[in-house]
Amino acid sequence: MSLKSKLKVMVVDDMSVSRGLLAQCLEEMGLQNLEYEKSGQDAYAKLAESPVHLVISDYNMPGMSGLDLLQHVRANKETQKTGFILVTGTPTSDIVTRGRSLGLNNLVKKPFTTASLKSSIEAVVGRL
Amino acid sequence: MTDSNVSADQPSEFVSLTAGGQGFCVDIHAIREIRSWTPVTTLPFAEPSVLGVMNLRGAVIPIIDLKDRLGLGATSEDHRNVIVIVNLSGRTLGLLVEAVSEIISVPADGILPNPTSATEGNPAQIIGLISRDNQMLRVLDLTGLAMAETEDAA
Amino acid sequence: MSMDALKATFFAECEELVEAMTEGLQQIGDDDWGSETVNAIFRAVHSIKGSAGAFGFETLVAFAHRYETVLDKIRSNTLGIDADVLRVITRASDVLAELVELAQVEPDAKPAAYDPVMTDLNGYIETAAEPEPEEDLFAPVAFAALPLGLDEPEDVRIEFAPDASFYRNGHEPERIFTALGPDVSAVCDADTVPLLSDFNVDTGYLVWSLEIKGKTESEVAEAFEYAKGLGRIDYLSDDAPAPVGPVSEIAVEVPAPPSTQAKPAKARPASAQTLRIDPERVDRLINTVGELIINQAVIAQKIEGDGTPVDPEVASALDDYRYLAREIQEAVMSIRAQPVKSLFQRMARVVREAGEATGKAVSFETRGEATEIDKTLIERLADPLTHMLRNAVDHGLESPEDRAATDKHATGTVTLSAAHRSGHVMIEVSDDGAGLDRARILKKAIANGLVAEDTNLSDTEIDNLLFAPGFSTADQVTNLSGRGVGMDVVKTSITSIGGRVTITSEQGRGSTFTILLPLTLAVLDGIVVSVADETMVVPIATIIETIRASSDDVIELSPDNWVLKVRGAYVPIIDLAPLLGFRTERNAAGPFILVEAETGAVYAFAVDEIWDQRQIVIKSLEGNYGAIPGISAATILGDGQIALIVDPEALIALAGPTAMTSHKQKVGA
Repeated sequence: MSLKSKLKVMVVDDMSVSRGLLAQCLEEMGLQNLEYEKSGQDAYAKLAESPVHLVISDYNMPGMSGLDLLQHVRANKETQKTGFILVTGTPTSDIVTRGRSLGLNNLVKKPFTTASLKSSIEAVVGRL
Repeated sequence: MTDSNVSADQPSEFVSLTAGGQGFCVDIHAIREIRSWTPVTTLPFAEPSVLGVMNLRGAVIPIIDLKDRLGLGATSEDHRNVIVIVNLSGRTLGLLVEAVSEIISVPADGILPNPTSATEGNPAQIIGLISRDNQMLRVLDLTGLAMAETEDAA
Repeated sequence: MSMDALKATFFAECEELVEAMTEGLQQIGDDDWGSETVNAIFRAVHSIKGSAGAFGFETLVAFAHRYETVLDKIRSNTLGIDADVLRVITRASDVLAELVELAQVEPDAKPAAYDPVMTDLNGYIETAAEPEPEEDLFAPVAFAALPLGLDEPEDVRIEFAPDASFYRNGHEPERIFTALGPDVSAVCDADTVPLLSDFNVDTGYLVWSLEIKGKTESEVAEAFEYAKGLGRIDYLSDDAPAPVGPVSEIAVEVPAPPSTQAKPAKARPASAQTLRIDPERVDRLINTVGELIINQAVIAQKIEGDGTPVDPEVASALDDYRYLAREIQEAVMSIRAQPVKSLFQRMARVVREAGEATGKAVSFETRGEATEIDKTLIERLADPLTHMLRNAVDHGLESPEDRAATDKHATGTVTLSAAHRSGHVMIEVSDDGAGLDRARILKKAIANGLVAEDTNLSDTEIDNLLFAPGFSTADQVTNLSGRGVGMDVVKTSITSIGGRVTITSEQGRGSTFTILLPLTLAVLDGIVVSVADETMVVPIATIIETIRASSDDVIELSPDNWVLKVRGAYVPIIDLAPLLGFRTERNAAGPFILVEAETGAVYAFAVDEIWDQRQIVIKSLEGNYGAIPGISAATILGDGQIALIVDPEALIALAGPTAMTSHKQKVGA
């Protein structure tokens, strides 16, 4: 069974367009286990219940930002091993520094393409 | 619609019908269904060939007397008259005709251009002629008919 | 989702974001804001930028980026908000909103204010010295990926507590366990099983602890795929404490009755979420419900139609049906209802721009933003309202000097309000300007040949001349109101959505334009009448009363000029059958329907029979046919026949200005 069909990915973004764009790319890559959440809070609640392998989260979200979510994920034993890729339009040094200290696995800059997203994911989980 | 079908190598399919005692045919793709005559609701300020509107499963469809529209006078009332429902560039119309006979398949070279097309006063709706069983069938361009309809209504 | 569908979603989402952005700015303008307000604006702009990039809207991205940079400075307190900054960021939000609108049709186009606002924004970004790369105000930071080492085979420990549903669906724990391979140890905690006397066969009691060697979590998860949702499956990480408590070994074969311990799937609190639906689906639903209403009418007519007594039970069931059908209809209609807020926010922009273009200081006030109306109506109100508001600023408000001369505050006020009023939506545009200059309007109308020189008109009639085609009050055509688009266009578009517009004006105090709209486009209340042999519907909104008059009350002034005497007043008769060309003979006997025109004038429509009042479903004629003078739409009656819905205003217009002249010349060919 290939990694592609096994890898469970959760996409977290408050904007349905962004979720749609990510979905399009991920589906194009052949990933099959995809979940979508609209906020950091929802994502965290869901993760605590049923963990995934990889979270791809937007940075810019109201309430709980992508990095806040990462912090929660790393703080919980059940979820701390989850891979985490942050998507942002403007990767400032603040984001990068905080991301690194929280154990962010990778960072994807918007706008992304299927190819760029795929290589970012592969850098984290291995060849798809 | 008609243009591409006429010029294609494949045979085109038409439905032949009678209006004003003359034989016509219409591209089968334009035809949605054929219904028997039901009374219509008269529209004010409509030109005489527009008989009115009827209810087709909840949609309001104008009914046009094809014979009258072609300048051959009004169709006389007859219980055998039928209404051909056609779909033309998103609009649905009903055409009152005397009879619908059959589906005919005609090769592209079986359609002769309307020789009168250059002359003035030619009914622009007839775009070709098909000779069949010693009868001359006129190929109707319904798009032209729908356009004329729009102008009237506007 | 296709790219086109995504793009459509993007624009829909942008609408919400622009709304959030505008709301934030409004709060800042009202001096009622905090850091979260700026954050919200920033987030909205950033989200627009983020998605716009994916669709290649470069102009939009470039502007949003600059705007966002300035907002970021405000957010990080390096830039304070003063009147100038507020003005610039407000204009920037206008430009951004316009760019979003433009992107739908012409992605590379720039609104007129693009360059000046861009310059203003740049003024706040201290990059005068360093040349600034367009895309990377923030230098991209290299980020080394942190590999996961995912899915290395390891030892997986899980706790599995199937629900009763698991067993009921015919699953057996053993099958799953054996599917995991040879290296599995399964321990069952049977202590949770109660005594036989307390035993409930519909409950799952057993909890299994499993240790699977040399498998990855995902492989284990796969084996448990069937059990998903049918119980609790907990993955225990290595450092989690081992299950404690007395553990008794039980053979795997033991038939396993189920456990209350298995916690039910945690129900997450439902947040107030919106559902985005393809409008076509809603339209289809509305159409089908329309058919249902008609069907209900058909059945009612078939049962009650012949006048014989109806079985009381059938009658009561029929009433229920009628009630339910209406309920469904109202519920469906409410799906399309939207608050007018977003529309009003767009209008704030219009007023701001109009103020800038005319050099007038304008304060824009809105009321009733939460009023909900049909989305279709909202869309179709945008153009007429834009025009009315521009007019209010351009023609309604005086110049600042004139205002000063009349002791008014230099800043003029334009108010836009919405409210529900007796089954209608009322939208008002009012200004506190000089009021209509009736003398000038009349002069202009005479000059334009709209009225005869010696005509004696009431104030209302003069005011309504504004709506006459080809009328323009501005002595010189201003750059703002433009040429050729007059209030007649406004009136036409309001009429086309079933509404009416009226004006009230007070000298020196201002004018108010009132739009009265039906709640929805899809149904209306009407009176069913016969005109010659045709069944027609007269909308109830304009009807004052129906009258069966005696022949003494009908007075012929001239062959084409008949009036009806109503309580001492004389009302012009409009005879519908000849007017619509259904018949040439006159109907002098009525019955009559008294209608009030927008001008306030009353007319008596002569029809052949008045049937009943009912709610009807509107069917457009324009899709398959086209517009018909005097007719607004059609409907399908209980017997399946089509009835035309008359447009009273249009009929009055058809009959001539005072209904006295021969209509036949007016109708034309």
